[in-house]
Amino acid sequence: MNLTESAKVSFDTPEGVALEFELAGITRRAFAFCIDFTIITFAIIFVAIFAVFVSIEISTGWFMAAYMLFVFLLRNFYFVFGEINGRGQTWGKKLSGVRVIDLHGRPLSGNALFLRNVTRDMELFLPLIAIFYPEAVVTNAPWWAGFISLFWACGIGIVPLLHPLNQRVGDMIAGTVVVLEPKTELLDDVGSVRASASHKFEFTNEQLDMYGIYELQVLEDVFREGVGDDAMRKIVEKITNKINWTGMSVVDSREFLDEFYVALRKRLEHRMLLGDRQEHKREGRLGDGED
Amino acid sequence: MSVELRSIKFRSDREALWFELEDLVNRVESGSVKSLSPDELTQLTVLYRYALSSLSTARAISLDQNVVRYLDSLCARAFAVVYGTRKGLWETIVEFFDFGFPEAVRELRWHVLLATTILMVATLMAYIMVAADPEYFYAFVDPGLAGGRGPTMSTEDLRKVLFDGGETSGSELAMFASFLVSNNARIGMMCFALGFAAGLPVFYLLFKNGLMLGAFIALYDDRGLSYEFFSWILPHGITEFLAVILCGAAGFRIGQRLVAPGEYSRWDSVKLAGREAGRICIGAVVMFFLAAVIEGFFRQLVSDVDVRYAVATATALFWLVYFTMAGRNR
Repeated sequence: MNLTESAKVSFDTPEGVALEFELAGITRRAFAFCIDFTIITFAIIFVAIFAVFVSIEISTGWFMAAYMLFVFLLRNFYFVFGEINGRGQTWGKKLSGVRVIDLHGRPLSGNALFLRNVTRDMELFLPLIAIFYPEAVVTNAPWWAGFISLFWACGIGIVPLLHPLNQRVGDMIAGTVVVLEPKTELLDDVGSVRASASHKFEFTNEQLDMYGIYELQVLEDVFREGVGDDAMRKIVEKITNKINWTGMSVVDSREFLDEFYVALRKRLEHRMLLGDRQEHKREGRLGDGED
Repeated sequence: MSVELRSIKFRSDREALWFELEDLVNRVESGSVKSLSPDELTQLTVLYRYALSSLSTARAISLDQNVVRYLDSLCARAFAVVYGTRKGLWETIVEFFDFGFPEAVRELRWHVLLATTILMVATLMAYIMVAADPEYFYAFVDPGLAGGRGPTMSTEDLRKVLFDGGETSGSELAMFASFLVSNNARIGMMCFALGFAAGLPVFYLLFKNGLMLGAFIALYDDRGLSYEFFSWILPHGITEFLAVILCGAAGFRIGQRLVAPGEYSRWDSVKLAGREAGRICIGAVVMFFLAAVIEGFFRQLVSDVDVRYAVATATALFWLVYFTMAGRNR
């Protein structure tokens, strides 16, 4: 179950580069659906109210006919047309930052989009109708048919929760998946500001090798978010302890961290180029092994 | 020890072009592709490849996670623009009716034949049984749908049903037609959805429809009104029953794929069938729409039997030509 949005789907683009997409969580998708559903509902109500205001007599058949047709088209084709026109995004999806993409990176076909949406009816509306009003689905349905529908609705409804890619049944048939619409701003490189700083501290390779990529990026987050002096001091304490720092005593913890970050990143990037990725820190303290 | 980082230089050398791409993508996302000039479109695809190559390099050399994330997101967004939906709404629709739909129907011709046979057999069965004993009428026809029609009704009243509507206003007819569209199209979609239960419900639906038709034919035939009855049902019935048959064929296809997946895994096979059947289902919805328009307007307004037959023949010819010829030369 991916309520926290962490699972990913990836495929190779035709250019041969693997693109990674974060899957949209169930809550976010439900939110998108609620927006779309609200839009549909309001459109239906609004047109009716509008008609009253411009004093078209609602009872006249022509208007009712157009209105029913409008409701029919809106209910059945809003999602398909929205997703074709918005390159995989209805208004609701756009607002909640999710997008439909093809599971294997192919262009989205109108057929696939229709499929994933027509099955929504089967997955959601049909069972709901059947629960409350079995007669509407199968004539002469016995009263217990509602319970069967309830069972069905629950069964199909939890599919996306259990599915590793959060796919609905419709997504599976259409071969689509709903992903987060990634929108990351390019921020200043925390290294570029710091690289120009005077450098007072020298680190040996052994010292730097105590830490890995994960820690470097935690440090990046620390810089971006900006933490207080106390927290900064604690981090410095941990680092100096771990790498067995014996150089000049640290007065300005900010300065120390800046230089440590740049030195560590340089070291790690250098090793990475040679095919040597160190993801995590080493256990224990530098020098402990030899004691 | 120099503090110059390769990854910083890498970024500063390239970011101007990334921003240019981001700007283009932003514009497409907030408007449409049409807001770009032809030059900008070309530029978009070039920049997209450039960003992709930056991304793969960045993954290899940069540990600034913001840069990698930014490029990831930029490439993903550009990917959606470049490869998302290839065609606009209108193109999609035109291509579907020009090619996709008739081709899908032709691929399932044997399923169509099977569905037709079932419908015919059921019709014939009901006809024979009701003709022999009118009491069977009630076994096949839901009283709600019969609208009071049945063996107890007088011939005069039965005839009236076929030719009423002369006095009804156009607006009421429109409403009636609209109701029919929503109703029939939903039945068709359900047929498709039910296909996922191995085709059995489809068989039932087809058979039931056939029985009902047969019962009505027998009823009117008994009163010597069969000529008028066919003129009443055929103008829209050809289109409507064809749509029912197509939905049935689509359902059978899904059922077949489910039971006998062949070289595919069962689940892949069903997904494949869903794609094949889905196209037919969309087309059938449109056919239901056309049928309802004919039923709602034409039938109620025109009570001349010969004109009704002419229209019925025209629709039959139209569908015959459409399904056999359209999209052949693609």
